[in-house]
Amino acid sequence: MIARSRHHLHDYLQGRMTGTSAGGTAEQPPPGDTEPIKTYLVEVRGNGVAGRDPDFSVVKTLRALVSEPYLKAGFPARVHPARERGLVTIEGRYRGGTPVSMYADCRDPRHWLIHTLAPGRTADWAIGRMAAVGTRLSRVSMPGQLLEKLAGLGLLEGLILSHDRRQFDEGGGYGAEGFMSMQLWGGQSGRILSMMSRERSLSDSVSLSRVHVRYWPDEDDRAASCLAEIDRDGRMVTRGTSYEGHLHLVKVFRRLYTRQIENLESHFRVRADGDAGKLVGRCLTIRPARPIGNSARFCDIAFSGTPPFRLWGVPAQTSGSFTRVRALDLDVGGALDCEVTPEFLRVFLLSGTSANSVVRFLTNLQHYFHSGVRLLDQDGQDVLEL
Amino acid sequence: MSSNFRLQITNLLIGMCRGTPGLTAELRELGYREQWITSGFPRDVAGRSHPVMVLASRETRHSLFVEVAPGPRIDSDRLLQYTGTTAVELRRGTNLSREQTETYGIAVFGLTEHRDTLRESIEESGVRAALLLCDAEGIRLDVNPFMQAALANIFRPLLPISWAGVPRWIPFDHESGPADIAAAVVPDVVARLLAGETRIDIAEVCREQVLWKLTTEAGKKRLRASVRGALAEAAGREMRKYFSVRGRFVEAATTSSDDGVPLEHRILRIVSRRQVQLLTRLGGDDRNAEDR
Repeated sequence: MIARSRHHLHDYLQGRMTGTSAGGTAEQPPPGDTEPIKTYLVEVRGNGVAGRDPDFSVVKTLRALVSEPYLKAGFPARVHPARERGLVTIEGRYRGGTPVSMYADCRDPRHWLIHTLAPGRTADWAIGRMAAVGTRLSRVSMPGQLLEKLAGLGLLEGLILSHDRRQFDEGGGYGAEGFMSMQLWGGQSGRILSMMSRERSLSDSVSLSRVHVRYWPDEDDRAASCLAEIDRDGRMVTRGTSYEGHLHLVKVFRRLYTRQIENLESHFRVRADGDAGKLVGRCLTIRPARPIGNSARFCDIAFSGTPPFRLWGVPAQTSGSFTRVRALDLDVGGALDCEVTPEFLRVFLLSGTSANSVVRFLTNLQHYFHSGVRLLDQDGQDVLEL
Repeated sequence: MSSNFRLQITNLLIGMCRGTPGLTAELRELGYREQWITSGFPRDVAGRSHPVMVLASRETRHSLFVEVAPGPRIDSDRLLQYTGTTAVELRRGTNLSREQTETYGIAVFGLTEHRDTLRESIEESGVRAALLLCDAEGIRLDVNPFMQAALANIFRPLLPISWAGVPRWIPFDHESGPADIAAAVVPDVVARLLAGETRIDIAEVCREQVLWKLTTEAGKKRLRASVRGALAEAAGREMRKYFSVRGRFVEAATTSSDDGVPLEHRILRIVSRRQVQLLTRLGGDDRNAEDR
């Protein structure tokens, strides 16, 4: 289905979720669209240039993305702009299979939502390719604090924990205590999460990767609900009977993320105001719950340019316990100046760099170094909890 | 201490004013915030390449002009420019407020090894500037203490400083060694080459640096020359395969150029090794000095 407008798309997705058409009749799903609704929150670089038609730029960006050779080979696709601004359908076939559609809602020039009913494997692959290194699109990252906030929007019915710090372990990292993966189902998941976080021997490995949130848009109508699986990479998969519920969660999801990014950029991005003769911006502190230990080794791993961090830089050790590095974000572009000590990392968000770089760095540290890593301001307050 | 003593003091004071972890928060708690005066200072020293740095506090109704003396003496003209200026002139020429200029003083940061000559030159100038002496242990207030006891007490008897860990709010200036400049600007060039740029104006690289808008015109000119010099060093040897410097531009290497390799993500590991070689070659002295 090619979306003509947001209203058209809304009716279509609502019908697919509830099994009825816009007119209220039961509708057979077209082939290929048989999965729950998936929505991806992605960040776009350098879009929405003032004075240019935003739609032109959106379509051009998407056409450039789908013409990337590897993506084109596996997922030949066409881009169809809707009559309404900032809405585009990407229609393609994954490895010659059934055609699928993805709907890019680009109303926000920076943080797009891509909705699809395509099978998870197809959608993940196509979005993953579009957001590959070197493109203008990138996935977002949700640290544990933000996922917990989203879980608070409804009833937490399940979660996934995943933690693997073996690459940071001295001596090769083959110890099984260096990783933990767990899936919990049921209404007691939140309690178990709290208990595990309080248990000192486990608290370093309790890294939230996904939350399953049950949400009822109307408290008096328990029949209409949705169950959303929200992943730390900005993917939300929703089942249930309430499309409104899905939309609400998606909007809150985007608003929460965008607000955090804007807050970080407006308060912490280091830049000069020449007219006022002032340096603007603050230093961020990443404070691990356990000492970093060998800062040189830490930097070699974190700034090697390889996944999951995808930060590249050449660390310079200025003393036995202090290392500096200007790290390029290979995913989003831009750079961070990082100063690493055994107790904390100072992070300077440089001009032109997206705060996504900081948030992704933090999220990765929570999953691959210590789950208790926090992002603090100059007063020691947790920035993401403000 | 770093070979660029002036920049190290500047970064230290910025860090102390902004609550940077690892540094004392006392200066910040007294309300001091750093400010730069690039032009319009009433009794300006002609052709200065460094802006005037001032720490100003509404809470204590006080401004502190910072002078850094890396050498054995300090030019008395630099000190006299402050004492010859009235508060009204100061407010007219700068962004300082009435509260911040109610009282003001001068602090000279120098090296302990130059204590006698610095004392002499301050005395000769007739200006009652506080002398703060720096050595491997930290900073001590030497002569002419500040009128504000709380401010003076920060540096008495000793403010311990781990110099290697001073935050780099400003990574380099025109007096920095080529290694410090290359450590900051080569990654910037690499980022642009990875993004597909083939010709990079060095002036643009300079404009992106934090210091650019805060320094004087003379400082900008020297900064451009220093950045170009560091990039030319890189392009002349370790980064020769990836880019060259022609005039005021950095040009990406192409497969058609001699021995050229377009810079791509998959060769970053090799670029890292070359950057290490570059920094080692350019910065042996700087880095050793910082360790001291």
